[in-house]
Amino acid sequence: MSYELKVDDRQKAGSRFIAKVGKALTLAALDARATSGFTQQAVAQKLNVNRSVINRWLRGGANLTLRTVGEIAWALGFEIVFELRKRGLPQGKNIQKPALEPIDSVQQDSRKSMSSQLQKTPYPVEP
Amino acid sequence: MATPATLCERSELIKLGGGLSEHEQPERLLYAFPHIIQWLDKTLPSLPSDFKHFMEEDLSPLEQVDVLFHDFVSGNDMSYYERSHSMTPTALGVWELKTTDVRFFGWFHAPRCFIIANVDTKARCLEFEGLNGGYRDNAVFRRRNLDLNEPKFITGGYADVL
Repeated sequence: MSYELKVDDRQKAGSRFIAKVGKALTLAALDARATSGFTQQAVAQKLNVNRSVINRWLRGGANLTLRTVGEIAWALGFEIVFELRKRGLPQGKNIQKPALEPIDSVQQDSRKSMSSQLQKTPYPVEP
Repeated sequence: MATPATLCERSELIKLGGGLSEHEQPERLLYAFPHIIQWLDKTLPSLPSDFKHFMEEDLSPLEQVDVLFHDFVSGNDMSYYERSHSMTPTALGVWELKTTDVRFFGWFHAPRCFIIANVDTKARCLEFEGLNGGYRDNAVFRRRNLDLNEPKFITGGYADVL
């Protein structure tokens, strides 16, 4: 039994995406500073806005427009890769793995389970 | 002496779920003292942001905390928190976890296992001089009095605790 904050799924989806974009921009700004000496002031000048605006944009929780995200990335020397994938599908794993024995049964009788796993392997085995 | 799980059974600690979706598994453990849960339940939902450039559609303090808990428990990459100094080690093995508006103080009982001992707003921590140090010392006091297995905490940097 564990405690959960009172945030519904729709709210989570929106706020976590905002945070994800904000964190990515902040990390890009830190990279740009480390590699090119870029400062928030320099980004502000490039985008013709006040430095306090950049501060708001890069603190991680600002609900930026897509245009603003694109412009910040441009000013920092980055390009954006945008991807949508079906919920619950791990990144880079779009083929379902063959089912494996539960780990507990492997621990209980490792020799038997290993043998059973090898038999399930869908690849040819050299003689 | 007890494990965090046993302390949860005794209601001395509460486990935080991190708001994982059904396809996610917990990769780190997060616990809190009962008074933290009261604060999360009663104070946090109506807490306004104190950020001076805050706009209505920006993340509320509740949403900020949800993001932090989810990132931690789901095992997400925490480099943002390290590089933006949103997660900082202080003296005596106490760490401070920050969002834009909220501050948490606690310690790592083991790698990937954090216990929250205190919480307050950033605004109050800035307004009252010495409050941060007070929360750090109070976390040490709570740790000392908690019937937790030894060693009660680990020290080190990000790579050691995450």
